[in-house]
Amino acid sequence: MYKKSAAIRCREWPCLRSKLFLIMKLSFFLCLVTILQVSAATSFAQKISLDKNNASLAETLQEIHLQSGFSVFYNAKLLKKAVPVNVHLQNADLSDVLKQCFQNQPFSYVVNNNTIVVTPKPAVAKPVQVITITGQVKDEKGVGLPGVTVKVKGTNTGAQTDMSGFYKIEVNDNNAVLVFSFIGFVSQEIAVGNQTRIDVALKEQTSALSEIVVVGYGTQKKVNLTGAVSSVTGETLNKRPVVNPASMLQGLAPGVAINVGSGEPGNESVSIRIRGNSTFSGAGSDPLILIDGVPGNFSDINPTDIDNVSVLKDAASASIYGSRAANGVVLITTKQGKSGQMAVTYDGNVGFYSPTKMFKLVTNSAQYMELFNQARINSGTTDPGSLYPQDQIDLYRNSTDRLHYPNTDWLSLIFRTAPTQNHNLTFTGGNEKTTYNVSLGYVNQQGIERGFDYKRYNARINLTSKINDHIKFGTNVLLKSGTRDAVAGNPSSPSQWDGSSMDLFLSAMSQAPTYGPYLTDGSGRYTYKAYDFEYNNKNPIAVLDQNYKRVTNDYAVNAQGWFEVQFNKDFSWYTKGAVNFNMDKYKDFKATLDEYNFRTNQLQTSLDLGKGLTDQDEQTVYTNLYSYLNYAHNFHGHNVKAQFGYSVEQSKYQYLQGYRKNFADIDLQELNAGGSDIQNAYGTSNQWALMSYFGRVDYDFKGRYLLEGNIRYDGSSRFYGANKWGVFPSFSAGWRATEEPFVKALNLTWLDNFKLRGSWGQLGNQNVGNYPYQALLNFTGNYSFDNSTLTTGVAQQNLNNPTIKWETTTMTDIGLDITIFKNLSLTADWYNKTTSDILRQAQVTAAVGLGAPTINNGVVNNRGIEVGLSYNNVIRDGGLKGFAYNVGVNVDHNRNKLVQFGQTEIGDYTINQNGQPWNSFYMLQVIGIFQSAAEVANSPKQFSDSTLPGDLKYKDVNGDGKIDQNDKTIIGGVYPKLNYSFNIGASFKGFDLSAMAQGVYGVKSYVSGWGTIPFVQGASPTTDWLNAWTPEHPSTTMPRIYFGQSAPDKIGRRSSYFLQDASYLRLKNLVFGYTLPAQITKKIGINRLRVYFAGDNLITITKFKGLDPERYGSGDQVQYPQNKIYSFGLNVTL
Amino acid sequence: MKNRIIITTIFITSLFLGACKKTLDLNPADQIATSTFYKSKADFDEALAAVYASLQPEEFAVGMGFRDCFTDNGYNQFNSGSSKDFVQGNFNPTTGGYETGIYNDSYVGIARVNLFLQNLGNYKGSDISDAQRKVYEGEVRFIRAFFYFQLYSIYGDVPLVLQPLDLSNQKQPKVPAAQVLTQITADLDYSIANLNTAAYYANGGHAAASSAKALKARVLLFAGFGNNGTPDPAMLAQVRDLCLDLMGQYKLSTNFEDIFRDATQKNNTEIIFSINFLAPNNTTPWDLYYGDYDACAPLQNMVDAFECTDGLPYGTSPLTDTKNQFKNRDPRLAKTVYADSVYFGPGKVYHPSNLRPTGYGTIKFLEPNNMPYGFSTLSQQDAVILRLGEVMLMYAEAQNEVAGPDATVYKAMADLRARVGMPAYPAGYNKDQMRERIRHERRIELAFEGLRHYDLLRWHIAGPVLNAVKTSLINYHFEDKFYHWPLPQTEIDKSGGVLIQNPDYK
Repeated sequence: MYKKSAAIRCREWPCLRSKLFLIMKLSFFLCLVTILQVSAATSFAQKISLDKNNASLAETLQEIHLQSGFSVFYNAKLLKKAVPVNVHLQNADLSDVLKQCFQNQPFSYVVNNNTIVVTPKPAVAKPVQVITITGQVKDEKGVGLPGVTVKVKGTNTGAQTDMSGFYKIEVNDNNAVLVFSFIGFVSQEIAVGNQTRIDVALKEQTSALSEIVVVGYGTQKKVNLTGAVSSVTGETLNKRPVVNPASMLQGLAPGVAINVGSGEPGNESVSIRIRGNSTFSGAGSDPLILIDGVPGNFSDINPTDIDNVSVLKDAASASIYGSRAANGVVLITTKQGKSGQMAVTYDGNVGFYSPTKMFKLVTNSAQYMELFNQARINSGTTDPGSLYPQDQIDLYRNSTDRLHYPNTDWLSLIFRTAPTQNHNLTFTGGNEKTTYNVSLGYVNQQGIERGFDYKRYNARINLTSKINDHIKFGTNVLLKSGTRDAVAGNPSSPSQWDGSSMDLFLSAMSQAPTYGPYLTDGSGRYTYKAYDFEYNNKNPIAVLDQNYKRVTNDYAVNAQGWFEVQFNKDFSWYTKGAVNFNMDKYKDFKATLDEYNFRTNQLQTSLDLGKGLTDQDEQTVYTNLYSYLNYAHNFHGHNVKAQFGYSVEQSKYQYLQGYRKNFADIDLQELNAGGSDIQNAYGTSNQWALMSYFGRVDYDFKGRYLLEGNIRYDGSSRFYGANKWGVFPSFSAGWRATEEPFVKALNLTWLDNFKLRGSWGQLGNQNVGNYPYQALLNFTGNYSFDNSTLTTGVAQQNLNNPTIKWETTTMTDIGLDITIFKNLSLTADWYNKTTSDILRQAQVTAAVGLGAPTINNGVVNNRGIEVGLSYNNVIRDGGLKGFAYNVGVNVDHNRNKLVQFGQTEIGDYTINQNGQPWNSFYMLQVIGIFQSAAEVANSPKQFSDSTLPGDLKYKDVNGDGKIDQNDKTIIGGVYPKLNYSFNIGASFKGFDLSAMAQGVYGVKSYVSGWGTIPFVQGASPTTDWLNAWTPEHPSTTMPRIYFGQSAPDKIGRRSSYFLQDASYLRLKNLVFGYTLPAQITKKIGINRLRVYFAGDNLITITKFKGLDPERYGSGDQVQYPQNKIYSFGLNVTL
Repeated sequence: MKNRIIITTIFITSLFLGACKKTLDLNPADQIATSTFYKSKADFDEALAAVYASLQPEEFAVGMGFRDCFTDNGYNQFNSGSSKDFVQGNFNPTTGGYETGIYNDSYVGIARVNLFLQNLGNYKGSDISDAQRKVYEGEVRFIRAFFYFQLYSIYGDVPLVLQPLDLSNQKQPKVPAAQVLTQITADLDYSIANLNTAAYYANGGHAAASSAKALKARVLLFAGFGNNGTPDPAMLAQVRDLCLDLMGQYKLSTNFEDIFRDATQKNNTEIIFSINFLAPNNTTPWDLYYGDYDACAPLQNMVDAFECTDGLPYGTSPLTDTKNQFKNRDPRLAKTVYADSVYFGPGKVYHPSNLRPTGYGTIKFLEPNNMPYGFSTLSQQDAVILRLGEVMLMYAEAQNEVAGPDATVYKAMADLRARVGMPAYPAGYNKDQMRERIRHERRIELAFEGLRHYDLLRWHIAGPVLNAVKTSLINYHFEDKFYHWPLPQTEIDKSGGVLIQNPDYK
């Protein structure tokens, strides 16, 4: 029976085919077929008769199909190449028939069950042609260059030149192209053709002049830039072995101050400040972060995926981002694929983290007990029931039984040296039409503070494809999944009192050394004090052991699709659409804990940690679509470029939280397993939208005179009526003196580039609550009249202000770029940035009884200078031939001033006053320690204190003969006077070394709480307090010792005693690597193999007395410490 | 192919481009716009709840014991409300604590009342009857009077705000204290005339006419002593009459402790007004603060002030037992103060996690059933603001000042003491002797209910009493200027010269 569908023609592949996919599919199919063939071999019984002369193969196969009933598969296109068939057989086996038919055919076949598949004949391997090419690479002066990389284009075959610049490389055919590249020189490509000897003279690169810089919605040649942009390569960033990519920017760009608030894994509180704190509004001073052109979260990126980071610092470069660019813009570009064979790169390291510094506490119990008694007595507690009896002190001092009379070092129980692993795998390659860069990353960071760990998985898929010469499209996709473990609590901020890393830290500090974490009876029960009069917080080891954790999962999916159409030489059109999906989930579980007296083993307290489970889901969906047209044309030396675009963004946030208490079984940590008597649910959502038009015009005349104008017109859902829309323009100009004929005529060979530039522009800030203009009532003030039902309360809580509008930042920038002697570059900028119409809370009198509305009022000014200097060179001859090195320095200074604040506002230890920096320190000034009763008597009376020798001596600032709150004074140092960094790098014969030192100067930090005054919650004093002032041992630095919270005000007042110099200079990063000679690694199939050591925060020079001077800011002394890292890594390219 | 792609892309792009300007018109999903509220009685009931809830902040409710730490009664180791700064005399316009807390939160409550009254005035709906309208107004004006009394008694002259304010008229000058007093009595008189006559415990938790009467008695008793502690007989006569009225309507709770415990507060015949809480969603941390933190530690002199069971002072009485201080003492001692651990009988013991700086803690407000006390304890005890015990003391005091220690004075005190098994006063006191006993009785009966501070001010004895305190961990120092607190400096600053600081703090 004839089956119409029997001979199925394989359809032609669609035009959009990818060779890669084709190969994969085919080989998979063939594998399958080959495997199945074995089992099908028995069914060859059919007899066939054929009589064909010069018949087509297709026709013959049809006949076979009809006779045998076997289906036949073939590719019609393939079959066109068939030679005519001559076959004469009677009742022959199918196998014989096929054998004859396929004789001399350029195909083969396989038989499987009832199917015959025509397959291309495996090509007979042609003998590989090997052409050996030799030659010498020289510089322009004709001196041989060692260490030049010679590569066969599109392959991983490569070689390096020897000491005299000679090389030898093998290619497979005459079509091969050799690529010669060397740092500091322009790469060259040469087709092999019939040559076997190729000598090359490489041209020196005039340093950064040909560099391309990423700017808003495009790129720009660095020489033509008129704005202030700092650019950092991904390679430079990735020298740091740290996990958070934002912190890698530290010290690399002048005017960009990065502060890593904490070393807590996954919760580093990295702050990025570009040119100072420009506002005091809730809108904040964080820059806009864009990943491949779309707002995103810096810390979601895998650092190894970063190709380049551009920081747009002035108004001219940032104003194309209008209403969100007031604090500068950070543009991150991720790596795109490169055509050629697939290159696989593995980059991984294992680091060992330890605290940069740890408190030195008194851990000797006898010493602790004596200081405790002294502090209690000094604080007025003389009741013997609240003091350690002398016999007990002696027991601790003299006992050899350290089980029952321990000297417990609690901090050592929660801090440790912890490993971090970091593995990255990148696949890149493609053909002329399609390229890909796919990467996978994994980080596992264990906290130096126990209980705080972080894991992150990253994947990135970047594809670019050319449809034809005019159209390109691509996708950038980021997937991230992070898991952060923390001790249950509120770990939202590692530097807040209720942040759980700090909470655990201070809990450990608050324990006395007189007892250990467990009872001595071996029962594993947890302790609570040895003596009832001791103070302490919860037993940190119990919390850790019991796994009372908050596990936070954060997921991010950033998907972008784009296309670009090049209509003709001048016109192009670019469009990108993006969806960012971010989800944060956490589960927080706590239960009560029984704690027992260390000495009596009696149940002392049932520690209540807020028994219950909180489960929260938060998600943000953000969409962005932008599209712009580009035009560029050169009219006889007049270069004109223009751009016009449109963008629309929408963001929706929602969260849902559930809570239950009273869990019967603490291992069942799901809401449904909790009691239903106490349960809560919360949830809300909010959204904002932004619509924008933007444009840019560039003009230059022969690269000599540069002009640029930008404009953005933004509409925001946050404002109302006419205030919805705002215009943000900017203008900039540049003059490259070195392009002037008269300068060229001077023939200044040492001067390569001299550019003067200036810019002016306005930027906006709209980052205030989502609905600030509307008059709203809140669900607040529930009340129970009858004590059995709760009536919902509704009240207006805030005044509203419908006329609210954009906050505006106006910035002027004057800059200078100079390059001399080809290798020495200087970039300097001066700027003046004024933010006005600040979106601040109105200063509303309490008599109104309602919260303040957001209004536009206030002016802040930031002024500063930034200088970046860099030098790089390669030694060309002598014994150090091939030695490449670079040196760089970045320095910046910023001065912040409240120009118009309104009524002075005094905070706890800060003041906001016109003419002073925002949040200036304001407190009593300590001028020493009273040494004698006579000195006390002869000094101004301090409050109503009973001042004693050994107490702090405050300065009578207003000279009225008494010390009171009127003697508080402004003390400078809230912002650093200078941020600076140095970096050096060198490479020679496979070795590479680089170091970066970073520092801040002239900044102070106010510290309080645990670790400042002794015995806060019983916290053991730092060893400094062993030298506390006593009549027998007077001290001029350490006052009398008082007892924690019951310490008299005279020691605890906000005063300069607690204001510490937080300036520092630290060796931020040191990398030493070695790349094995390619000749050796090639033998095991590896193109490049580098091993390296990278260290972080290795040396710190500071006067700061607390933990680490690099911290979140003023406030509690105790914060999760910074990490000192020793890491060892491996970099392999296949 | 190429055209297809371009057309598709243009199409998709234009969809976004076409996203009309409405994209930028967004409204919150969980808040109500003012224009859509106050449209029915139910809306007013919800607004009324928020007015009552404005009484819930710490300084008016759970912190009532902390108010006694501004006196010779207690010590707050956490300096809650800046009580330590106050008693040490380091008190100035920038001290903060309750100095700003009472000021700010009172005006928050006043603003809610004023907004309520304004919206009620504008509402024309028929679902609110005229009678209901008057009850609404009476209730919120009672609460406004409560707040103004806080301001009047502590600061004296303050801005008098009776209409909602906005940015244009936010800078308000202060008015003389007498004018504030007039407004308080006017509000309370309105409440007395219009609120339900049923006793508070039978009025569904809403303020009753009797609540307003009791508050008015307290206000007049305070005002009646003027600025120098000399009583005004006319005012005290009014106090006496108001109290007499209330003593006829209310009955003492059988057990003293029942007034403060959760289960026995409901329908308690002694309570004339309370600020209510309800677990699990509307709680306040009584048990945590008093039972675990020991944030209100009675001073030794307070403990010593409790008489022995024979009615004689501790130390003088032959029943004095210095080894066991709690033995043979006025039963209210053990119901007010705990030593070291909270003890409600065998098996009902809780050891606070914080130190007891004076050796004592306050047990008065603790709920035995909530043990163990801690961070997640959900306390729902109501804050008893007005109760018959205080009314009886007010009656006795007023009557003694007006008419001398007559039998009704003796009886009121005898009844109050009899509840806890304490003997009546011996006969034959003169007016001064009786005054001293009543003042002492107030300190014991009302300990840590936040009234000691008012008493020291109105009797004008804060100086001698506080400067004599030697049993605290800090040095007491009181100056006459502290009879009136300074207005918060932030308010002076923000008013741009309109609001003038109290003269002693300039």
